[in-house]
Amino acid sequence: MSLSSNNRTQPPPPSAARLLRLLRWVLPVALFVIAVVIEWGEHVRIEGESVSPSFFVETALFGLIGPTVIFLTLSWVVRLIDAYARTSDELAEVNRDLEAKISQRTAHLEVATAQLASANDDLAAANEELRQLDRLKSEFVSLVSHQLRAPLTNIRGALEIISESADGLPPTSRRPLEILTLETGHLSTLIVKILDVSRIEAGRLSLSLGPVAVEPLLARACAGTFGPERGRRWRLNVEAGLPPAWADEMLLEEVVRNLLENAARYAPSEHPVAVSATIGGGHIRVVVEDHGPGIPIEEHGLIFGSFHRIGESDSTASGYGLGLYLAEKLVVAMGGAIGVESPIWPEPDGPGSRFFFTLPVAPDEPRGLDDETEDA
Amino acid sequence: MARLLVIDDDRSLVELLSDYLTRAGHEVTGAPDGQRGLAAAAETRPELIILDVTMPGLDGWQTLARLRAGDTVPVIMLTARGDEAEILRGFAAGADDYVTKPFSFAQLAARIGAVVERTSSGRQAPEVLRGSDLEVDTVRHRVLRAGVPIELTPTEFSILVTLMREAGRVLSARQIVTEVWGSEYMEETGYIRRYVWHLRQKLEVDPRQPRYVLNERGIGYLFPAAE
Repeated sequence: MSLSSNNRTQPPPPSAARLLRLLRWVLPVALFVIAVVIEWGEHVRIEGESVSPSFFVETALFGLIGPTVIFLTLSWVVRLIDAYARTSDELAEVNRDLEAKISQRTAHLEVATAQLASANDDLAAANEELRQLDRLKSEFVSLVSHQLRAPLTNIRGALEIISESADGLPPTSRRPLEILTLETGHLSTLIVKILDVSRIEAGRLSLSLGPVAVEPLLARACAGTFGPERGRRWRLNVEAGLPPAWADEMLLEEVVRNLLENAARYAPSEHPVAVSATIGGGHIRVVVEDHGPGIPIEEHGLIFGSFHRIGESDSTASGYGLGLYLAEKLVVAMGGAIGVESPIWPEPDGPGSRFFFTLPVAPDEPRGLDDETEDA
Repeated sequence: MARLLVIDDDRSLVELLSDYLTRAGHEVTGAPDGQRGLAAAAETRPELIILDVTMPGLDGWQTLARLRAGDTVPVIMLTARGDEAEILRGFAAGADDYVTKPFSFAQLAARIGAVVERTSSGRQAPEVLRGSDLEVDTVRHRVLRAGVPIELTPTEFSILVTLMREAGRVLSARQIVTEVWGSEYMEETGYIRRYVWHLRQKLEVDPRQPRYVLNERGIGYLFPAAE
């Protein structure tokens, strides 16, 4: 941007100023000479007077006063012009300074913009690299898990064959065989979970959404985790008239089972795990409460991350840190949210934790389309 | 019990499975790839084939296609992935059941027993319910309307099967609930209306003019009997 281009009042050109300075002297002198010549001609040549006082008076009147007035006027104009020129120069100077400053700032800004763009590019590249790494990691984990399935099937099969004739084994071999079978089962579960997670991460999870009656599903999941007997290890309380949720039945059961397995793993068996379902705010809310050791507040934001285990140092619990991660991904995929509260009880040795998740309610049919089909 | 053929390139698995299934009373032959599996199938005329999907050369799908070209022998696929797409593809290609690795031998043995029993008693006819242009395969959990697959949730599927098994009879909401969820939920009839509405959205050509799941005012629902 140039400020001088906006400056409409140009100073007069220097040649005009010079002419005016010259005229300031030339014009009065010329007028004086003309007045003297005229007066001399008039008095001496025409009227034949000798140099008389009236000649001097008139010469002084026309030859001095007029030119002096003109000289003063022109001097004043010249001063004005000079002042104007000086102001213009100063203005131009200021303009130049301003322009210099602006171009300097613009240059700085351009450098900063370039640096920002470059930093942005670096960030985008780093981001892409991270995404690539994450993809690679997922693919690697998925590949390894796939590869592990075949040998694991064989190991499990071999153990099943040995277990069938375990009675013939010495007692010292029976317990290790039991442990082998148990651990192989854990490993199978882990691999299936890893493959589920990698399917979700790769966006290959397909949902089969429909209405899901919550109570039968919760009862089935509880019985599957803790055994069929109610009251001792688990309690279920479902709000009367709870409408069906809108979810994928199989995946919803997987979510509930993950929460229940967590409770079963960490909570003492003398307190039943309390499962409940209520409706509020247009959502169905399922809650799982236990009397376990609880979850430190600083871990609340972390436990839904992959491979995060509650209390890393605790080696007795056999979780792999995938259950809650999977549960969170599945709940979100079904349009709900998941969370945790802890502590929930005043007991210091069993502060417990409350896991909850929400699900949308299955849309109801528009009224009047189908008639009421009350049980006859 | 039954003559079985195991086709898998994992020799250890073939060996272990043969051992396990022989102990369970079956007569087992093994084959290490699709080509030799087809030859063994022609030679031993097995009553059931256990077929691995991932094999070098002729893979499980190609082997299944060739088996299906000339035979209706039941096939249980050993899939490497738990993908629904792969499982659906397996059923569409004519597999009778599938087991996903890692599986337990006891689980596979139970599936073998079920498939053998189904195919020997019902003679190749797994329970398929038909009504109008609707075809419901209760074993493979597959619904076709005029040949086009329709995806239902397991409970929607159960409701449909319950109605189709009693085609022409009106079932009360209480009867449907008892059949689908068990007698302890007998009073929870509030579910049904919503389930039926969603079932119609997926099943019917025009959900407002239902043809398959009809309403009998004040009594219940019925699937119309074939004319």
